[in-house]
Amino acid sequence: MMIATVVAGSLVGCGAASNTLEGRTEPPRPSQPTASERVVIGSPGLARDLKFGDVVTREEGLLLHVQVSLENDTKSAVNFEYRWEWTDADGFQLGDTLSAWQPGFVNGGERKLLGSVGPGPAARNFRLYVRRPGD
Amino acid sequence: MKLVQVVCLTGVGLSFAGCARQVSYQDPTRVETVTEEWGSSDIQTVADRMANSMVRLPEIANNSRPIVQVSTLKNKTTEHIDTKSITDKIRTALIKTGMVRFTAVSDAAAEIGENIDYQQGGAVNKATAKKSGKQVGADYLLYGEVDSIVKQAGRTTDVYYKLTLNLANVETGIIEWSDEKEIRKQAERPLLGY
Repeated sequence: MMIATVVAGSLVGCGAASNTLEGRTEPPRPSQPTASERVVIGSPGLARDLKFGDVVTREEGLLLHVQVSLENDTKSAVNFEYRWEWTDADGFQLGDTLSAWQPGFVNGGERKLLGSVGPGPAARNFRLYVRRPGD
Repeated sequence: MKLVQVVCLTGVGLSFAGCARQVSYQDPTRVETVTEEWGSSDIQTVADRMANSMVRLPEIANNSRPIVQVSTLKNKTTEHIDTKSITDKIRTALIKTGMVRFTAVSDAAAEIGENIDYQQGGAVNKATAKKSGKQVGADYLLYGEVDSIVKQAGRTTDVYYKLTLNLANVETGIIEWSDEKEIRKQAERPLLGY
């Protein structure tokens, strides 16, 4: 049975900061979700090995794009499995066709970005589930 | 004599009962690593990758809902792979997004034609009978191939799969989108056994 442990990682980019580039002031970015809100680790001990950092979202056209960064805090490679869960604004699940567990791999000390796109314009919220293979 | 028969039959029955297979339902979405060959997780992984990638194409992302016809996905591996299962999975995922439409011509052209013939045959109310010549032509053709490299050394087998999909504009012949997904698996044979 999966024990869902929500990671409380160190998080960056939660604020709505204004960036100035070549004299232009860019509009403030909407606040981004955090790993503690969006990443659910289902294997005890995996949270020690993999640190989840920035969660960035962006709307392109009608679709919500998401990207979650993770870093292998150990010296050896870590195999893991992950799956995305998408819901609409009311919390109903979407895109179950693509919610299968997928194998993931990250070398020791390596940083990786996991990305996905909402399964249709109705997708508003997401969660990323992570676990060790076989758990 | 009868006692011997009863004892024998009971023994045979018990031995069969002991051999009964244990069946249980499993999560079809879990990562499957029973063998290094192409499997359900590979289908799910490539479908996820391809559907996610294809909806980013501006012609799809702008919600013009183009019509796609699934063509062939060639199997260039040495394994038997049901490539239609792969394209079906991708098509289902894309249809569920509501951003792409697919023509059934690849799968059911004959059945559709037969149905129109039936509807025009007099059995169906003329007001609702569908006419031929009204099918919508596909904007894009989806095609691709899956190939593999298998290497074996000692007890280790390394399999590399690459699935490439292309979306070609039917009118111009231009490939508007293309993506590939690579999968690598390694299997280690035990020292003893098979």
